[in-house]
Amino acid sequence: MRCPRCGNTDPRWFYHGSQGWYCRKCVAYGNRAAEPDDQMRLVDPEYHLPFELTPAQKQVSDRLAELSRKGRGVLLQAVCGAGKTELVMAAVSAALARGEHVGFAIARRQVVLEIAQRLTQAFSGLTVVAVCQGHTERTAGDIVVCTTHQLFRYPGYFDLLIIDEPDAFPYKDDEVLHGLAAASCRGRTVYLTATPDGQLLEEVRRRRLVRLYLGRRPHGHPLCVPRACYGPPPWLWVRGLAWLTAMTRRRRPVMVFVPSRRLGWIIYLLVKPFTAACHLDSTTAGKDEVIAGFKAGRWRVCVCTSVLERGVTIPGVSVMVVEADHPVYDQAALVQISGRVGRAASQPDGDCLLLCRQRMEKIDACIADITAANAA
Amino acid sequence: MFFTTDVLCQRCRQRLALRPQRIVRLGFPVTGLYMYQGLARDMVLRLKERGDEALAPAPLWPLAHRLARMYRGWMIVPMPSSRQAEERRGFDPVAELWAPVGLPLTPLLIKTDDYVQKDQPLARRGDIAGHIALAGPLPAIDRPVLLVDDIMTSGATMARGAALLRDHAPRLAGLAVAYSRLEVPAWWRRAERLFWWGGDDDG
Repeated sequence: MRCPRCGNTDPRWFYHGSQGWYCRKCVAYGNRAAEPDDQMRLVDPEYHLPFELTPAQKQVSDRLAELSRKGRGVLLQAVCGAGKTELVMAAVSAALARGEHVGFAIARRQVVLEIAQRLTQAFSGLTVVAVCQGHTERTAGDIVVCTTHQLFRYPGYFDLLIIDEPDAFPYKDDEVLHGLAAASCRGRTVYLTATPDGQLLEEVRRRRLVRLYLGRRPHGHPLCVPRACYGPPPWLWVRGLAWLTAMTRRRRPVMVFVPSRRLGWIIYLLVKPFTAACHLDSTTAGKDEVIAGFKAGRWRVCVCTSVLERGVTIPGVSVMVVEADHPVYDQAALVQISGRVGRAASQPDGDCLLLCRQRMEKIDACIADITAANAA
Repeated sequence: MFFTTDVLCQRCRQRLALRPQRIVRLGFPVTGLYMYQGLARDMVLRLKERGDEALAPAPLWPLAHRLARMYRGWMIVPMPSSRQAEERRGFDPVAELWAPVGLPLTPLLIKTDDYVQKDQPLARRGDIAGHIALAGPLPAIDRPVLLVDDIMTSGATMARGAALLRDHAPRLAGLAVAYSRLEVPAWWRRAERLFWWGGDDDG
């Protein structure tokens, strides 16, 4: 027995209900698969970027468009802040010119809205539709930008599916979402990430994907290499508070990443009496407003969980990770968090401090990866 | 001794914390079994909204024998769902939830139209009273009556059922599989948040 929606073949996930057999793995997506308009529509895919691509970016962009035209799947591995979204626009434009359906699938809802806005600005003559929680009235457009969960609405629809950050939660390790993505794409898939996981690298090794690499940000400044501080918790508290004090005195925005909501509240309540601080986790209402306020400088310190580890650009920000050795952080997460620093060309510097109670391989590997990317 | 026929694994059974609550504000005794939050809420919603019938036996399975003993000899009346919802799902969630107990249900109430309670704000949930009626002429009721519902938030649905049957039943009680967290005193909810969050505490 095989589920046509998620591809599940494990018999333990099938149940015989009052209306027959159904797959329990993807039952959360209901039976309301929308029927998108499948008529081929030729559009004018001209696009405009807010900046000019560097020679290295141009080379990767052209190669990606060529591979997409030839029907090859691609793994585009580019460091945080290298402009991955802009790099795929040539391939998107070429696909649209051929009348193909193009989709962006992203693991995080906040990033969906941001990327939809950027694509709308770039492809001003096209309809870019954002489909995510709270934005499901329209599901069809020239370019569909959706969360990976929303892919259930598009079975066999996309000729070019771009999956941004496939190593991020919740897409990572979720077989149902992988099945939905595979079922929604009838052409080729392009994966964008700075930290590909073993599964993607295996696909590259088996030549199912072509790997393209870009190790520099557009402004050419090196990536911020994290500094790890080891010690017992009291010492780490002292170092962390000293660092936070120094950063706030320099009037730099600071992000403090915590591994749990409870610790986040504790640190937020400790910091708030001394400086303008905000708190953000998965349960925060109005996340978009809090992020916008932090970007606008309304708050100096943002205490957050891993909800902000990806897709957020705060000019001039420095980050500190509390309990960087906590199991919730893997190597990819630490690289992504470090990647929040120095993204903006106007303020390419910043600091990244990892507070760790014990030495761990993932922390050393994160530092080694970023150091190697800078040396390349 | 070493095996169980529980439909949930031990970890999920622990997470699905049974928290019986006696609710007296409706004028007749109502018992709620699970607070409508966390895993209990997810399971009931998945059953009702997504049609995952496999979850139906889970909530009442550990209490099935006790409920069967307590309410043997009672007339068990399920609170009705809208016809549209029943057609869409293909099953009645209250009946499916009650099935492990093994006592027969007597459907005496119907929803007169497709009014959906969950779409209404809390202040307007009393409007349900105009949408529930008797299914037909009542038989002679010489046994205590137990009203059973899947989720109780404002209590308006169960109150309406009680109003229709109170004059005909010698004794009336209610049972809700899940009840609103507002039934728990505010000071207790604050204490829980401070000292025990339970469940997943990651970001």
